[in-house]
Amino acid sequence: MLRQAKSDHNQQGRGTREFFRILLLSAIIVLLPFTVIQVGAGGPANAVDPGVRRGPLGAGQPIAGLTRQEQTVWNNVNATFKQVNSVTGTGVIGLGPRFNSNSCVSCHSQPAPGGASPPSNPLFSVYQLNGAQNTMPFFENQSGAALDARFPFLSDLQTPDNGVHQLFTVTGRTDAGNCNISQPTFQPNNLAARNPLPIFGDGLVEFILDSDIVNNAATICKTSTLGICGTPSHSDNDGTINRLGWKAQDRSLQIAAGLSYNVELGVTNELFPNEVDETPGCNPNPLPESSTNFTSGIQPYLFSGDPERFAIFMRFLAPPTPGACPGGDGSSCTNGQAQFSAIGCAQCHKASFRTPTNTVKALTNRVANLFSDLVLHHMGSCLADNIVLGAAQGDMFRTPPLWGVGKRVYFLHDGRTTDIVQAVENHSCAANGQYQASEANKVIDNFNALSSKDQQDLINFLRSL
Amino acid sequence: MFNRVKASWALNSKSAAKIAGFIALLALALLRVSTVTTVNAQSANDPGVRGGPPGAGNWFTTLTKEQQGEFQIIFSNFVEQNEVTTGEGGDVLRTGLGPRFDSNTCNSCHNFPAIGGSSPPVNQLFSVYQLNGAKNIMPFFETPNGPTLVARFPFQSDLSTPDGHVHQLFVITGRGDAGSCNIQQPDFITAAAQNNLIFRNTTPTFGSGMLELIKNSDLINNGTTVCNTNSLGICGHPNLQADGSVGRFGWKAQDRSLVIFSGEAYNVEEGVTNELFPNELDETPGCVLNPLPEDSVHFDPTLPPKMFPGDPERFALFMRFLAPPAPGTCPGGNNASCINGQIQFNNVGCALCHTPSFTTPPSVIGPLSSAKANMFSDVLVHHMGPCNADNVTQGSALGDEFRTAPLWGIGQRIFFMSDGRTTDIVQAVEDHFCVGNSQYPASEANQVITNFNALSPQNQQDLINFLRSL
Repeated sequence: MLRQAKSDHNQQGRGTREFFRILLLSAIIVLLPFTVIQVGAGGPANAVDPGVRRGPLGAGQPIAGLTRQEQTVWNNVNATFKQVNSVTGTGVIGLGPRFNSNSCVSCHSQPAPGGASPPSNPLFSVYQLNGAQNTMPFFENQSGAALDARFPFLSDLQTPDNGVHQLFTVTGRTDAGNCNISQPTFQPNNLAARNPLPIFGDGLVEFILDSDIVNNAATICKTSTLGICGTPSHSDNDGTINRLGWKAQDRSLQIAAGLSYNVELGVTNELFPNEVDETPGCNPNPLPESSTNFTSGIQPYLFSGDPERFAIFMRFLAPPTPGACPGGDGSSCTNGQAQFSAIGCAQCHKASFRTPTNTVKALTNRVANLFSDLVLHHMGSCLADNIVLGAAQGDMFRTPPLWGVGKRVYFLHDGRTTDIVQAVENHSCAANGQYQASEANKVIDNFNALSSKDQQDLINFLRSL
Repeated sequence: MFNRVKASWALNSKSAAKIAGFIALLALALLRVSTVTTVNAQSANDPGVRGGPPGAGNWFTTLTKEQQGEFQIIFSNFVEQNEVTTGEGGDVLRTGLGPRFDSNTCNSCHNFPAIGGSSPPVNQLFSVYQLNGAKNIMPFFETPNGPTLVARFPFQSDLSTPDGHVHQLFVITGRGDAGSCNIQQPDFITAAAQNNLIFRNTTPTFGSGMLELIKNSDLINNGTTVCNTNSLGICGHPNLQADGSVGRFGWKAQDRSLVIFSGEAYNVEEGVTNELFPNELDETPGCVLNPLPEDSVHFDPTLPPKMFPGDPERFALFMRFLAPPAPGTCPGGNNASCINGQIQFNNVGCALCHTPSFTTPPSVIGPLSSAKANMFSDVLVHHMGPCNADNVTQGSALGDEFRTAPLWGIGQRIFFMSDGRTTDIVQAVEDHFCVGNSQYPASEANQVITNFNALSPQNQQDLINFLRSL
């Protein structure tokens, strides 16, 4: 309730900003004929982002059709996702010695728990908590996305690193003993920022058939006249298709949960049982900090470590529900979706997949309207982050699903913009000596060549999702 | 008990072959003397699989009562058999086998000298491959008394795009519980003809709960020290995982933890989809016969807590609680031989990679906490030369790199090296030697093997006896 109130408040703030944006746009439209000779292919967009959609959250609820038993467990594991970890003590422990935040929900909260970065950066209420002596890295802003950091290279700026370098340390916290380690030195020339991804509907994404993903990508590759040809990210482990994360580096919610618990919060667990930093004095807890609970007589869902519970929470989170078309004219969004398909967005942002039969009936045979092909594409040097993960090269990203994008605040992997029109335009990038041109270039040319009305309809359609 | 009887029978029947092999080895060794001047003949003899009780297969005796209780229950998970569609029943029958698989239970390959171990003397796949009407033919590389091998193809069919994945030996086609599924086994004969087929022998899981927890910094610091100080050219590196920690399971140190390994093996070896690896490896219509994932959380609140998670968590608990192998008596009965053998093992440089022990950090599981793990491995990957290279890249382990195989329990191992190519531990030692070629550098172990061959026959035999005492 509190969160919703905050987010409404913020949306009012956005409303004011929107007013100025419209004012600015009007000015541009008036001045445009005098400054730009021709709007067409390669020209600027005329659309304006209507902003984060108001109205019902459209996300955060469990998927419809769970059994009573599944629903009961979900109601309980909900709390695990929201729990706040301390370093030591009597509550939920295991934070650090290096961490990005102290709970899952702090970064995954917009528009509801399980979502993406909230309007106001949650890390500012975490970094100096309990006496911690952290300074805030230069790339975090109070009203920016909660970003975590990867370093493409080691300090020689040559040897690949690719790993997450946690923003904060427990040094100074009263529950951290005499642990004394420094934050990383963040250098703009060796830094790849990542914005949290929303999790709604990932329980459906997790099960989509490999063959559906591979066959769709192969068909697009053969038939696209726009130069679009994605690459599935095969798991090193079992050869199936990795599909979660900005670079499609993760296979399943459970593995992603174990990984994030250690990498983002520093909580060792049975999937990733060692601390990220083993400096003496900084590992106060026995390993793993989250583990199987052998106490007899406990509720069954408390037997496994936390990652299993996170995974259940996420698996049962319903996909986002689309909302009303911004501006209230439904035909605008209908035309917007037609334009979206016509100009080629849908070649990567594939409208839907159907899930196979699932042990959980609620996940069975569902149409997942995720607007993603779940494969990797070259996006050019302008988006490239030089991070290599599995099959993804430094300029490759998974097509991010667009469901729920109407309620997203920050866009692109590094959260560089809150303007969805800008996010669309940022898909365009020419080749350079290192990376080929973005696969989306022709599509963005097509977008820019649309009439102002069609552009706006397309943007409205996106914000209706 | 049953397994042990089979083991001794198989070993007796092998003595003749072993003598012949020994003569061949002598000849080989003489050949090497003629070409490599600094190397003496190796003259040791493998005393064979150590007799006596299996030094493995029990849980840690210091587990809590609750943990021991769990171990007994989850033990049945490890020996459960999976059928395709009809198997849900109690703790020992499960559904989900295939559509492609290597075996139908963990226990068939992880079996010697006790459940959780490695390949038994009699290849269990022969009792699996045509079970229940399956129409499989046995791939040419599986033999009734050979190791249970899984197959990987280094490259895709164009022979240049990397593949590296496991290609399951068998399919469910023809089984009475597999409906109309009709898929073919991989064409191993063609793959072999194209030099695109490699094998992996089962690794034992005893003591893996300790291995799982050893500090990254201990492994990395040890590796760095060895790199910086040895004059034998040995310098391994960790196979770093997604969280930046050291991979430690599997022939190429490609797996991070027992839970992830369990989920992976359940899907890759048995074809059972699970919450860690939820999709089938072959989705040919008519062959995906169960809802996904075939193994999953049980939401029924009347079940005991240990039944809540899917099987991989229970497999992992079973393995985590398996005690490390206990060394046995020195073969021949002369303890001094093994004591000298370990000294020689250190002197010639074996211990530079086969690090005798690490100590685990404090753990929530009593017996895994601050405990000495005498595993004889640095858990790093090393270049082993073109003779051992399998051209499979996994993580940062390249085609010629392998994790230093832990040696604890090796006294009761039957098949050696990644592909189980030999049952003769002396041959296995010698196989660490390999000159480089244009594709791969020389084996990092070359100088060590040269040192071994330069030992006196007595010292060589003592070293081999020491290994077989483990």
